[in-house]
Amino acid sequence: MTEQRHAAGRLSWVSTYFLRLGILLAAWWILSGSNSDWWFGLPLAIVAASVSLWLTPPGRFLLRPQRIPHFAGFFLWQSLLAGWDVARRTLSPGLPLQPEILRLPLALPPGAPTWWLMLTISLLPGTLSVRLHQDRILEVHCLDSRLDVAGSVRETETQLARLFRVEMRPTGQVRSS
Amino acid sequence: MILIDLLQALLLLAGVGFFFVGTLGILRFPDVYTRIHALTKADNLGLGLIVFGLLLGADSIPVALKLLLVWGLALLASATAGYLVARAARRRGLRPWKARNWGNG
Repeated sequence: MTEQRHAAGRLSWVSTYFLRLGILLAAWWILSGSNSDWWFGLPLAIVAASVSLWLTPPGRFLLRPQRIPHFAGFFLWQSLLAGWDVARRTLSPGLPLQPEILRLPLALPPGAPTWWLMLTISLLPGTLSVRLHQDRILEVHCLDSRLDVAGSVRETETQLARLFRVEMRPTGQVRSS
Repeated sequence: MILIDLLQALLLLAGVGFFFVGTLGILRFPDVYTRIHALTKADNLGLGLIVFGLLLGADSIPVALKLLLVWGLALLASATAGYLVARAARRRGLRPWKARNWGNG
């Protein structure tokens, strides 16, 4: 029930406030260690959560916590491949690069899922977010255009769609610019 | 314990190696876009390996979480900064280096 309501409209201000407050308190606990100085941390977290609501109103998307481990596994493995890939190219004498900027139509809805996509693919093998257009086209710089860049971006979108429980819309053809 | 120490040493050394490769990439790669690739991805993995190496020696849960928080924030910062630099370069009309343009790019 609640999930359907969340999917339809914005999350409520109260639940967003307490969610962010909880995250900030956890961050304070982590930063201050075992001898937590709550007389300072608690008011700070309360003010910071209020300011965050003012700067960034509640979004329309909610992460599915049970999906986080799966996404984290995907991300860690891809990070490993990305670091290895770039190290291999850096250390090869011939510098095997065939960079190109591709224009990929996005299937994810605007907002948080798109932002996470742009951040994630910049850390995945051979891809870098360059610019997002109004018409939901993402310019991606790739290190090697011989690889299936569109396919790996689409795979990341699928992972994020599962993480956020959102629908992906059908998209057009990939173009290079 | 020896095994854990050994694994920790290996992870830390591998992490340093990836930082070194990321720096080498800045020097070797041809343009701003490819250099961002080298820096973000190699340093992400390098810092990740160092964090996991240090996790093996962490003596309390807050310390372990702090290490993971450091890695998470560094990832967020490097991905965001990389995107901002790439977008600025693109807006100024900087064309990506192409393999076939040897000599005139």
